[in-house]
Amino acid sequence: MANELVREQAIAWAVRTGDPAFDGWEDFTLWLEESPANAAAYDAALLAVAEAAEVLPPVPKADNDDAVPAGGATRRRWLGGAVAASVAVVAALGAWQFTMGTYTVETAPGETLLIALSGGGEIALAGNSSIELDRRDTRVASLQRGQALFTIRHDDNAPFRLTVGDDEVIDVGTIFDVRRGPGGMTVAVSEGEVIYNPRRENVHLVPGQVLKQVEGGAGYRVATIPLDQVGEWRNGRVTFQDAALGDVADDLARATGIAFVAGRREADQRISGSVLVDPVKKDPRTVGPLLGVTVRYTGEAWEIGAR
Amino acid sequence: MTGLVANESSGLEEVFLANRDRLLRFLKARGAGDAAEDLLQEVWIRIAGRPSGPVSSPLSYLFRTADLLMIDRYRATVQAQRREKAWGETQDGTRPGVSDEPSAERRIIGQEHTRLVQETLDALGPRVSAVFRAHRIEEVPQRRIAEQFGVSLSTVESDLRKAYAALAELKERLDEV
Repeated sequence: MANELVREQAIAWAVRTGDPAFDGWEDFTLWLEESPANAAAYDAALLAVAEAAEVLPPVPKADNDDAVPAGGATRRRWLGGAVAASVAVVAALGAWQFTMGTYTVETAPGETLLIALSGGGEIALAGNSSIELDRRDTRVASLQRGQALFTIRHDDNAPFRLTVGDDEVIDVGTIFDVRRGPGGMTVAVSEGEVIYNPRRENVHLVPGQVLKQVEGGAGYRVATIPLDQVGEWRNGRVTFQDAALGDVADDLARATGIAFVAGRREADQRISGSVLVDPVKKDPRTVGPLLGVTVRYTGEAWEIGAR
Repeated sequence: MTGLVANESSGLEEVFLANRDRLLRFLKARGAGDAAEDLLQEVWIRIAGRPSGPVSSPLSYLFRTADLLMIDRYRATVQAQRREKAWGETQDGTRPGVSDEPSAERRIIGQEHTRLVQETLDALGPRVSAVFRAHRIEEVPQRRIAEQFGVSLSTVESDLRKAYAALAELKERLDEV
């Protein structure tokens, strides 16, 4: 079958071009020019292999099913060093994971997903985020990574419980935004009321309040936040209020799908400012003047630093 | 290409300019179509943003950059299609929401995906599986794998072809679900 032959050839080329020593690009071009089907078969083979490689645990070990790496970007270092940066951060799975009664919904950087909860309410998941839900109990969720805006129907008998690592947030019928980043967790409330760690700190948060964990897990502080900034990432804007550069880079990467990092020695520096996501997607350098930071392309990512 | 400041020291820019036509031809053959010129510009942006440093084979590096760009592009397209499909699924059905069982179960992903990939590789035998992991996970170049395993380079290539073929087949099966 002709298709089978094309596929075999495509796989053979994928094996060869995948090696850093490959230099037969002229021959490869000639093969591609034979038929448009060749490029298509090559793409399909490469994607299949890339996706498979990305779900394998970093340390080769069978029977280890809880070590799903978060993204494929680091895997591709030698595949082209500089090259892997911007678009390559695309995580493979913008879809459902499924195990037992719980399942995980994940987004790639730069994408958002709206999850309607049966029985009312919804969860808007920001880019590069992951949340675990339970098919049998729609009043529980666990934010594993990233950020989400929750719009929860009030039910006295069944409060909505969200776990974030070791912390718990109980909502009492409300709209609230939760973010899990390198600097700890942030909960901002837009409507209703939320209780943070009811069995420990038991902090009640009302609209316009934001709770930020202090880095290193040493407590928290509560500040005010303009209501229109709660969950504003859904409208394509990100605002930073006295935010650590590490968190800023994390948020920018999540929203744009572009690799942003903070300079190693500057991750704790704090800045304030606001940017629209779309222009940054077109040119990452625009965050420089808007946030008052330096922007430098390292070959792997866009590194932001204090000015 | 005005307005883009290149790096002085890497020499990639000179090689890029000297081989512009070859790269363009490659991008077209690779399926870029009308976007080939734009993508060539993207290649330029990527090498211009690269930190200076020696590149052992500049022309290969440029081809590889172009190839990866096309892979990323293909990947983004596939992902957009998937997203549309997933979105459509959440909108279907009598009960709105992710708890609609078919939408969750139709996609076997995550830990289940990991298990299937591992089974697929293990079924090919210990060496094929180990060669694949060494190359794709630990990023060992093929020649060094050949040395480590005491086999010829063509054996390594053949092992990788087997693994790739099996994984492509697995993906086809999963996409059909």
